[in-house]
This record gives sequence, structure tokens and C-alpha cells, in this order.
Amino acid sequence: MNGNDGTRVQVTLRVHRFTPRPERDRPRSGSPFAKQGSPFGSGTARRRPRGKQWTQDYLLSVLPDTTILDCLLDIKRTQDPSLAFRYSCGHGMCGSDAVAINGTPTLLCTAKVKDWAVAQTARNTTDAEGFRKTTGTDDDPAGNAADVSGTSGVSGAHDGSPLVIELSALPGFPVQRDLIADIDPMLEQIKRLKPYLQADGKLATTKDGKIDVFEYLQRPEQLAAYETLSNCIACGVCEGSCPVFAGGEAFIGPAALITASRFINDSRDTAADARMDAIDTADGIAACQSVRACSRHCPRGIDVGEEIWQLIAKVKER
Amino acid sequence: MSPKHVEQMYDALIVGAGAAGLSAALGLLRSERIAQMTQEGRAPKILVVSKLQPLRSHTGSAEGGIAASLGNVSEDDWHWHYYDTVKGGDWLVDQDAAKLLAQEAPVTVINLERSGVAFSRTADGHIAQRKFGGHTAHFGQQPVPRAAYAADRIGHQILHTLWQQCIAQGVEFAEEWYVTDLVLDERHERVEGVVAYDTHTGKVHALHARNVLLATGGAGRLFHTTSNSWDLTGDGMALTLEAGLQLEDSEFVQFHPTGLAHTGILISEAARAEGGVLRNSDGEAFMQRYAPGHADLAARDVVSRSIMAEIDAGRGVADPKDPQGPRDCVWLDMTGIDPEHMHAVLPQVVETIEDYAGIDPTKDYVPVKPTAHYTMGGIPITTDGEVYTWADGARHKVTGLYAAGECSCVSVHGANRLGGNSLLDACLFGQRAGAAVAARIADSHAVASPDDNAVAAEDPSQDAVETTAQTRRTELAGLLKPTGQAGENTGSEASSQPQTLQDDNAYQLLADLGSAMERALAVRCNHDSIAEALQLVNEDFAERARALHTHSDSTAFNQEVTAIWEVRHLLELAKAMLRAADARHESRGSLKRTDYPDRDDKQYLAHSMVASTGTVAWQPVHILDMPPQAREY
Repeated sequence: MNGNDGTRVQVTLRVHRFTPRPERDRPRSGSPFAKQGSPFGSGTARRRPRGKQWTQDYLLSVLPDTTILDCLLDIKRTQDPSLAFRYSCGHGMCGSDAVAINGTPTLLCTAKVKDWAVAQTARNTTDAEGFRKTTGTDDDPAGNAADVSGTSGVSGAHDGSPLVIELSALPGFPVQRDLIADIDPMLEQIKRLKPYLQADGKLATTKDGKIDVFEYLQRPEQLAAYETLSNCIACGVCEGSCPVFAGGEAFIGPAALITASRFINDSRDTAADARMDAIDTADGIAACQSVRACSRHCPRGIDVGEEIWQLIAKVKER
Repeated sequence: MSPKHVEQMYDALIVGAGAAGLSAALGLLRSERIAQMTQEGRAPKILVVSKLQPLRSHTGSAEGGIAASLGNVSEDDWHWHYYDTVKGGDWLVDQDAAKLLAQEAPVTVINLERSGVAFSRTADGHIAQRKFGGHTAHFGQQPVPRAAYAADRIGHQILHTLWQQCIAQGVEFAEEWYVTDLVLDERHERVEGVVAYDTHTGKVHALHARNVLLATGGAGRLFHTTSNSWDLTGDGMALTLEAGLQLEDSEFVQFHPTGLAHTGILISEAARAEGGVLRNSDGEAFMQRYAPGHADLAARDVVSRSIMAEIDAGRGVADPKDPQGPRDCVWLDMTGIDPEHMHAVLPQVVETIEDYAGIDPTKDYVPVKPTAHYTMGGIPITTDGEVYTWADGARHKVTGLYAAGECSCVSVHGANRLGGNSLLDACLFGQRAGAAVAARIADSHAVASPDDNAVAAEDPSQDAVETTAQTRRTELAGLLKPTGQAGENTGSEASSQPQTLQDDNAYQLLADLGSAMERALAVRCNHDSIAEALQLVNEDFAERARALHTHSDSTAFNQEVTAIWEVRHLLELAKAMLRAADARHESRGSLKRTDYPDRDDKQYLAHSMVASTGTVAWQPVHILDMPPQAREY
């Protein structure tokens, strides 16, 4: 069954929402006693945004093949235009729509209902005869999900255990509103590592169609050494998956390391040594614990954990 | 990122951060005179304002390549590229601009490579090139590999490289700021600045500038089925119309023949090159009938028109995802391609079909329909990116106003764009516009003292930018009064039925406008289809747009505010596009008028110049080297 037979399923999108309190214009620490804040934190610690938090359910009737982004766009049109989430290209290239689906960081536009909907009450509930299910519940939400496009998932919805998909903002970053997270910390960390080709810096000029300087030569096998890395779309999925990155400053993060590795492995780049020095730090490669959660949902298919492992070896073996 | 503080006066504001906007920023900062000024501690104040973080720009979705007669794979000559571009555009191309495009293409591509683009390579390490529709050697003799590529991700590579170089140059960005107004002086002769809405805080900023460069991209969201991202809402074009200026050739919109059914996501031409065949509801391979000899590999506009003719004749099929819906697709039959070969040479195509249609193309037919892809027309510019109006038979420049990329029309694409020429247009003419702004900044700093910054704010009532910003603030306050529907009910209980909104919203209006424009203009049109859409746009839709309001009164990241302004921009643009299409009584390139089926060089070898009033003026095409001929492939 490919989910294209026109059978719709009822699914609830459970969204963790947040609306920030309006910013006040007066300076933050009006009281002289409040200046220090926590005795443990520095004065520059990022302020946790304050506001209203709640969970909201949206019930939809959709084809199992529908992407979760399309579900949310439908909600905007027909149920709740105030629901906030980033999106742009809708087919996995722009990298704007990374969120946590059932707790797992991934892109809204590549995730489908049939792969993520889980029966809500599979755990800790009994069926009509009073028995609890013992298979495919506790450790295997994916096992439930796989059934959705088939008959058991549909009937599951009918017999009172509705299908649910839980959505929250990308973990590891401050929430700005609903599913929108502030990923500027990631971009700042990438920028710190000079994320641009460093070579002789000469640009070509032309007169009457004739050129004075040509391209840097690079053989296909030299390109292969970094091509996959150059496909990173900076969506932040790897960062949201990383248990060390969660919380920010202690680790420069997998995305920044992938960017560094992209240039270190580019035969045209002349700054490899300086680049390796820049990541050979306590908050650089030393902070990576090789958990490899970063590899699991990379939308560009980069084996982030393995690449970082290779990078660490390269830095250590110099 | 938002700027730490807003300057009293900017030397240059660049609106948009895709290939064109970023190329402009680099063209500006890399110019020698600006580098000199910066070294002397007189760095010009420049800000790039964009409604997306730059890496999210739609440039990143371009797949195929960027055209340049490098001759890395086989002999090539820029004269041939020049000819192909003029012919592909059905002779509605300004030949001085196309000549420049072809001549400067190689240096543009070389400098992208030297900036870091990971181009695919030939065995000896040069930039690899592939064949592309309409690009030929010896003036139409045989296909030539002219498109420099990076697997099927050239746009991603170019976008990221340009952003990286901007980081190297320390460019300041105002990200997720939406420009609501372009402000000119009263006589529409000089730019004064823009008004921008910071979506993070909901603040409206008056940004004064000596130079403004628009690089906001296309307007695919005018149509229901489009390959364009959700953000391509024609903002720059609408800003220009609303400021009292004109658009050029806005009636020309390219429809790519094979969008994946109602998603509009592109299925590359390579699918047909490898043996894919288009079939109607009877299973007939109909292209043989429309284009004997070329069949499924005829020119883009020809294939799109043939598909629509089949659908109009009742031989279309429904998108299997919406079986009860309109029969507005045809089948792409790829089952004749050996499955192993298909996976080897069309990996991205197979992945897209599997992911977004849930279909195995080795076994089942794939539903496709033409998808809105590219706006050939736009803000009229000179080859240095200067915006002008056409009046009394002459171009009148607007001092300090520039444009580049898909939102502009230097007229290198004419009535139909060749593949590989859009990235080239954006990078090359973006760079040129940036260099032109640089020269103007350097000139003005050389004569005037840098301390005359405060000119703008002396008398607030004379400050047009601030006045316009104040009007927007008042309007915003009105938009933010919700009527208490939906939105923030905090209940977590699942109701048994989907809730439905009782009142209208911008997202729904966007969808309805897309359907109406598709009925009126997609692939073919006539006076009646245009008139019907114009009536909707002028009456029903206009009324709905006026009545729109948000469903939450919180200003932080209130996406509905932007959506309301976007849909109003689209309506403004739709009106102009429909008027221009109505005024052109001929068929040329991508514009097929069923009531005027032939090209008419006597009357319409001219660019339409439409204003927001609906008046259309005609500007003669620049013919330099090649008089019009029949366009045959």
C-alpha cells in the first residue's frame, strides 16, 4: 500500500505553543539588587524568553502520504492562522523548517504523517477486553507508525485510540514563538570559523570576452573529498539532536565542525592548519562525545558523526 | 540577525539576499574605490534587508546549471550563446543586454569558482559542463555542453558560497525584515529609502538611503501550482508599482512542463531525455502528434502548451492524491526506462517522486502538470541595474534606485528564458548593479562632505520615509485587532471534528488568488479568461484583502501580518500582469493567446511597460545584430 488509495486518516497534531510576552522598553535591571542575577551565571547569560506556554491539538483528516508541513499549512488556512512555524521551499533544500517531531529533530517538509503518527494510548491503556498490549508499544513507536497507512492504523483510529503527532520547536535553541527557534547561535558559531574559501583571493577580469585568470584546478577525486560536506543546508537538525550541544556555549556544535571540515578537505583552501587550530579546543572537537545522534536525520544524508570522527583523527594526527 | 542599531542614513540598502542581492553586495564591496574608502576609515554604510535568513533564499533550489561558453568540454563561443539567448526569447530580447550576458558569462562563472563554488569537474580538473535545452553550437547546428554544474545542486552551491563571501566581507544583514514600502521623492525622480517591518519584534523602521537596490526574486506564488518557494510573492515588483513606477514584460511567465502534479515540485527534463513519455487519459503518447520528430523533447513552452491542450480536450487525469479533484494532469510514463539505469542517472528525480507522490516510477505512471517557474518580466533596468520609467519615447532613470535578478527585467530573457541563464542573469547583473552603486557612492563622497548625513531628519514633516513608516504603524495597529476567533484558545482537548474558521484569512486568499490566476493565465489565455480574473482581482479579492486582519494581537513573529502584506502585493502584481497580457494581441514565447495565435512583429516587437493604473506603454526592442526570424527547434 502506498498511501495513495484515497483513504484518509484522522490525525491529531499536538503542538507545543509559545507566545512571548511583549518586550518592555525600560532597562532590564531596574533594581540595584537584581544586577548580579544568579551567583553562578555570568552577566551575559542568554535570557530565557518569558511568555505564555500551552499545548494545542488540531484534528485533521488527511492522506497518510501528506507531509507534516502540508498539514500545518492546512491548519493555517482553515483552523488557526496564528500558528507560527518557518517554511519556505517545501522540498528539503532551504533548511528553514527544522523542528522536533515526537521529540526527534527533523524537517517538516520531508516528514510524512504515515511515518510519524502514533496511536495515542498504546501505552498504559487497556483494550475492550481489559488487556494491555505487550508488543510494539514501549520501545517501538515506529512500529506503530508503520501501520498507519494500512488497515490496522485506520481501524486503530476508529476504535478510540486516535493517532497523534507531537510537534515542538527545535531543541537546543531558545524558542521564539510556537515552532520557531532562534538558530542564530549556530550561525554565529559557523561564522567564527571563517566559513569561506581562503586561497590567493585573486578574481578574474575580462575584456572583449577574454579572461586573465582561470579557475583553480580540482580533480574529481579531490572534489569527492569534501563534496558531501558542502551540501550542508545549515538546518540545525544535527545540533538539535546533539546531547552535548543542548545548552549552547560549551560545544561549538556539529554544524560548525562540518563547515570547518568542508574547507579543511577542499584542495583549493590554503588555511587548513589555522582551521584545525581553531577547532582543537575545549569547546571544539574535545567537546564531541561521539554519541552520533547527529547523523540520524541529516536531510542531506551527511553522516555527521562519522565525518566529525574523521576530522578529530585528522586534527590529532597532524 | 538584526542590526545593532539603525543608521540615520545608509549609503546603500539592498533588499533581498539571494544570488542577485548577495552578488550586488559583493560587487559593491569588492570595487576598488569602496575598498579604498574602507581603508581610509570612511567605510560606506550598507545594509542587506531580507525577509529570510539569506541561506533560505530560493536560489538554493536551482538544480541544473549556469550557462557560460567556457568550452571546457567541447568548443564553444560566446557569439553562439548570444544567438541562442535571443532566439530562445523569441526576439523580445534587448540584444545589447544579451550580448553582455554571453560575453561576461565566463568571467562570472570563473569568479564563482574562485569564491568557493564546488563545481563538478572534468577529469583534468576544469569546471564540468552539460548540455541544456536550446544551447547550441554554430548558431543552432547541434547541442553544446554549456551549463556549468555542481551535480544537481548548483543553486545551493552558489547561494552558500556568496553568503560565505559576504561573511568574509563583514556585510551587515537585517534578517527576517520585510520591506513594506519603497519611498521616492514626490516627482518619482529620486529614491529616499524604504520602510521595513522587523518580524521578530513587530517594529516598523524608517530606513533612509541614498541608494536602494531591489533583488527580491520572482512571483511564482501568483499561481496555485508553482515550483517556487512560499516566499516568492513578487514583493519588489509590487513595491515598484505602488511607488508609481512601471513593470516591463510582466505578461511573460515560464511554465515548466513537468511539475509533480499539485505539488509543483520540478521533475527535471532529464526524465524525458532518458526515455520518459507523456501520456493522456487514453494512454496515448500525445507529444508525437504536436511535435513530430521532437515529441517529448520539444521546447519547454511547446510541451506545456500541448499538455494543456490535452487537458482542455478532456483527456487529462486527476492527481491520485486528490482523486475527486480536477482532471488537470497528464501521465509521465517512465516505466520503459530500465529500473537500474533510472536509479543510476536520475537519483534526484526518483527520490522526489517517491517522497512527494508516494509512487514507484519504475512501476507506475507519474502525474505531472505545467508549473509556474519563472517571471521573465519585472522592474525595468539598464545594463547597470538602474531603474527607469518609459515615457515620451525615452528612458527616465530614478536616481539611486537599482534592481537585479528575477524581480528585474534587463531583458535578456525576452518572451521565454533558456535554462542556465537565470543564475547567470542574477549573478552577473547583480554584480554589475552593485558596482554601479559603488561608483555612485564613491562619486558622491568625493564631492560632498560625509557629514551631511542629517539632511533627512531636519524637519519631520518633510521626511517622506518617516511619514510613510508612520502610516504603516497605524495600519499595523489596525491589523492586529483580532476578532477573538481561534488563535489562542488554550484548551488541550482534542475535539472530534476539525474546527473551522468562520472568517477569512490571508492564507486562504492566497490560495484562491492562485487558482484564479491559474485559470486565467497558466500556459494559455484569451481576452475572456483575463477579463474574468481581472474582475475577481478588482472586486471580490480586493474587498477581501482590505478586510483582512490577524488572529493574534502579539507582534513577535506574527507571520500573519507579513502574509497579509504579501497577498496584497500579489494582488497589485496580478492586476498589472493581467492588464499587460490583455494589451498584447499576439502569441510570443511563453505567452499563448488563443484569440491571437500568431506572433506579430509589426505591432508587438516591443516591451510592454505597465503601471499600477493599468496603462500600458510600448518600448521598442533593442535589435543590434540579429533581425527577427521564425523560432523553430
